[in-house]
Amino acid sequence: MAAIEFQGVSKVFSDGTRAVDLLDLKVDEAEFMVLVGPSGCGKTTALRMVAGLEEISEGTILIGGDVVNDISPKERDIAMVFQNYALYPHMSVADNLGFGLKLRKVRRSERRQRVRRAAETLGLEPYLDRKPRALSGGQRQRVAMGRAIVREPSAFLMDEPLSNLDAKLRVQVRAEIHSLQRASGVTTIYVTHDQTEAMTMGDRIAVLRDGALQQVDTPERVYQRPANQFVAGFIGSPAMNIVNARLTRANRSLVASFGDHSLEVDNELVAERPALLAYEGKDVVLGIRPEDLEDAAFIAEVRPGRTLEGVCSLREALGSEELLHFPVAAEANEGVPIGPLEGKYAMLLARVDPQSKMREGDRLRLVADTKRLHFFDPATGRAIYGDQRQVPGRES
Amino acid sequence: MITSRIRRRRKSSERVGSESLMLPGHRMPRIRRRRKPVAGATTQGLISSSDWNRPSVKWGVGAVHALLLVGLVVIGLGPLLWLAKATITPTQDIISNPMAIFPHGATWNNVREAWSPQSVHVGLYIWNTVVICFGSWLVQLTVATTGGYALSVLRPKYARVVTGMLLMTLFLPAVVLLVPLYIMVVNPPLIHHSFINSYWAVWLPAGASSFNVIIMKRFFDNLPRELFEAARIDGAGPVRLFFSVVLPMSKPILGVVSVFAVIAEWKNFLWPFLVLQDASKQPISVRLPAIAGQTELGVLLAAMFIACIVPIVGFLFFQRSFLRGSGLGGAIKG
Amino acid sequence: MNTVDLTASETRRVGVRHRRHHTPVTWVRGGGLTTLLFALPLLLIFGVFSWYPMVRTVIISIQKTNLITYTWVGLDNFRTVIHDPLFPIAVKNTAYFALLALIFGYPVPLVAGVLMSELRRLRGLYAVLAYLPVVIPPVVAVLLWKTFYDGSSTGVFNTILGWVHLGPYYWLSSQQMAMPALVLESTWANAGATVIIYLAALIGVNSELYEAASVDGASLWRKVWHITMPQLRGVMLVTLILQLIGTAQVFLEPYLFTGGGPNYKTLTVLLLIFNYAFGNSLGGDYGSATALSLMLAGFLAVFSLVYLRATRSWSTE
Repeated sequence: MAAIEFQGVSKVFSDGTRAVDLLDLKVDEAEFMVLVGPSGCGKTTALRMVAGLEEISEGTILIGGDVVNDISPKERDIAMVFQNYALYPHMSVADNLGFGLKLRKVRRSERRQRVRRAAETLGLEPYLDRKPRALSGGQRQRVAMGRAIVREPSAFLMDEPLSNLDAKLRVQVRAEIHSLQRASGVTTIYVTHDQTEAMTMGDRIAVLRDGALQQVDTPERVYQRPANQFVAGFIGSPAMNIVNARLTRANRSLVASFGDHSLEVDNELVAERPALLAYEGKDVVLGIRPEDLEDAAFIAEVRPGRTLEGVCSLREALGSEELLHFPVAAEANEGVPIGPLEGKYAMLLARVDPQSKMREGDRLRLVADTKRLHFFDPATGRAIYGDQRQVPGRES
Repeated sequence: MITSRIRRRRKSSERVGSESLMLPGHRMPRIRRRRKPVAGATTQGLISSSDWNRPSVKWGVGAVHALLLVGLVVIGLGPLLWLAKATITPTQDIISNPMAIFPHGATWNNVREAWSPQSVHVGLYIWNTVVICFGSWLVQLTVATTGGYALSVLRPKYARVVTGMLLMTLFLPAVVLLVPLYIMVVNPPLIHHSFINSYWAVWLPAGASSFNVIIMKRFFDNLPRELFEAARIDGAGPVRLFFSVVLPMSKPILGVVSVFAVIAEWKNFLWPFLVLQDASKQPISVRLPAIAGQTELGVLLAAMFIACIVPIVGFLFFQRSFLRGSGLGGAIKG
Repeated sequence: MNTVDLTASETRRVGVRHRRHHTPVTWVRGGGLTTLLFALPLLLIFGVFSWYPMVRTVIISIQKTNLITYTWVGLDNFRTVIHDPLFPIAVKNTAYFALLALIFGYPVPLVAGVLMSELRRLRGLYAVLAYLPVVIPPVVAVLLWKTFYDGSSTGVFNTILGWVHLGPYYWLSSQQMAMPALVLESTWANAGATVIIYLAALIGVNSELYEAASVDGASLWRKVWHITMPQLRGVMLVTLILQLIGTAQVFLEPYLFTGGGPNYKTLTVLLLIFNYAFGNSLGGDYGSATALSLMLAGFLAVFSLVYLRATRSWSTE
């Protein structure tokens, strides 16, 4: 079990693209760290640099305290699970599992033991003599995991191992990987573009974008206190509603207005984010999560200045929840598609109680949890907090 | 116009008793069909299944079928069948009555003469051909696999240059190299010993086939890189990777290259003719024209037939590799 | 907080940047030696038997030699070849062969391939039958057909033609028939390979195209013209140039059938080159042989380039 550390690591490709830009990140021993971000954000490149499959352009990577920049993958004592499994097609499952051990000259008896143990853990015993092409996707994925487990390495590196599985299987295997890692206590770096995987599996998640680290923290904190607009929009499903708004003062409270709507900013919130006061009278970017909007019919006490009204344009009933789409006249942010309505407007999403009677075409009345509003600087995208934890991308 | 056609097609389906809607080109499930499907009746080709149901099409295509079959048999197989027949026909009959079938009975004389060491001794030359093909195959496979591996997987800095040169030589007419190669065999630059009559003079130059290397390289290029990375992480060095991972995965392409290499060498005439001047070393392709003048026709034909047996049998056995190599893949059901 | 930031970034800028020092040792460790060992068979064999001879050909073409002494003679060899009365004859004959092969041998595989691709049931058998002549050693094919072409009235072909009261013909000893006779055998022996190529291309045509055409109401001929042909166009252009290049280098047929006769009517360029270098009467004139082979290669190269440029716009790729 070894800690893994990135110190100022960059990867520059021969055509000049900076796939990873000055990454500083420390993964603790036995920690399950998830690197998450949209495609092209550099997460896989970062992982491959730890594996030794990509050369490091700048900076240092340490595994277990040792600098590994010039050490070959074989000697780094890491095991990798590939997105497409990378199983040797001409070898049986047993041989696939044991190949790495054979190359390390582990004795046959011990090899067989370890292979059997790994196969037991993953339920692969009945398939030991089969070739990969005779296995289902889920079984192949397990063999890929088994190959990593059997090596008993200092760290696991996983590159989107679930992306080729169907949705149901994904949920099941996700839990298996999670509990496996807990049981074995091996430091793991897990790369995915799926924020649900990140949120459910990681001890901490590191959000990357265009090669730069946006934020690294526990899933809860990344959700509750995103460091910038990108993280806020990326984490959480469905995505956070983001609109341009103006902050004004009315009576004795701060009000955020956008289009025909205005929401009173809860005083508690302002107390938590003192820097907000500097934006009085100025434009800000406002974020509201769909789950923080509720059908007014279900709120006992509706305080003034907390409601949004609009017309429901689309309703998606999922059984466990309902998603209501409704346009508001405000500036769309970040490329929200403009529909057939005229003028500038943003399509917002609210996640309401499944018992809601709202239907398409109805006039909506939604209550916003104004303690959970998010604000971002329109120029930099940085979240507006104003207390100690202001700097994004650093550990909180 | 089109609606009437659809209506017509629907009618034909009702005749057959199908419950499903008969859309143009729709292939009916076998279970419900009462009639046996016409040969080739799927929509995949030029002729849709509804077209097949029309009698004019059926007869027209049937006629073409027959024509093609007869044509192929007569033209493709005919000469070979004649050769087979001539092999066991006495020379006199071949000359006077070539199209008759055993007017005076068959004979094994020709074959005996062809085989006999005192006479034609075709067995020796077939053996020579086998030896030459084997060595040639070995050299070609070695060069193509190691070279393709180096260029595709290991990728040194000079790989681009070498690949470029290989592509250039691909379009080079072989005749351009004929004279210098011959001179090199007779008078090798550093070693002062002629290689005339040595099989090495045939084996080694055979390896210089850029076609082999290029298709091998292409195949390696298409292997998933992740597999190599997994092997690297497992601890495999380049040599291990080659023998334990790349080669075992390359069986199909090795088959194709092998088949092409052996066949090409078996058919080769000019080069062995030039460098193997000692009759006892010559392959069958070189020997046959040499003895054609002095050998009785029947015996010559028998020897020719024996020379064909190996390639034909080999072809029938390895049809898949052959035809796959030419691009047909799994399209043939045999 | 800000000060901490600055220091951290400073460290980075100064900091740990690993550079590779390129020495022979790092090259070996980096796998360079192993790579070279793998590439060695390729480099040696090609170097000795392909690249070096290429250079040598050019050199010999501007020398006069008897393998013991070498004298530089500039373009003399080329001039000798061009002034050789056999040269224009060989060129004409080769062009004639290529033309005949084009007329007889180009459409046949195409038609056969199209037919075979439709007739699914026996397709495998057809493919085998068509390819069989290709597998026969060319020497056997030529000698066999030489027997067929026997000029007496009891020759095989003459006997068959006799059944419909035609012939007997002289075939190989006739100045008019010799070349066509060669082309016929050559087509028989080689068409099968092309059939397979067309077959493969045809099978690869997306069946949905045909289905869409059926729905649109296209007749059989329409489909062939508008779907099959365009899809084949690319392959057809390739087989055309390959055939032309191949037939330009025909050697075995003239050598074994007629030795270039009768009256040089089947003398091709390759045969002339062979005669220059190894022939009984001329023989040993390596300079002329290499000069002519270079001229041929040069012509084919130029021809190919012109062809590729001209057909670039026509190909469906």
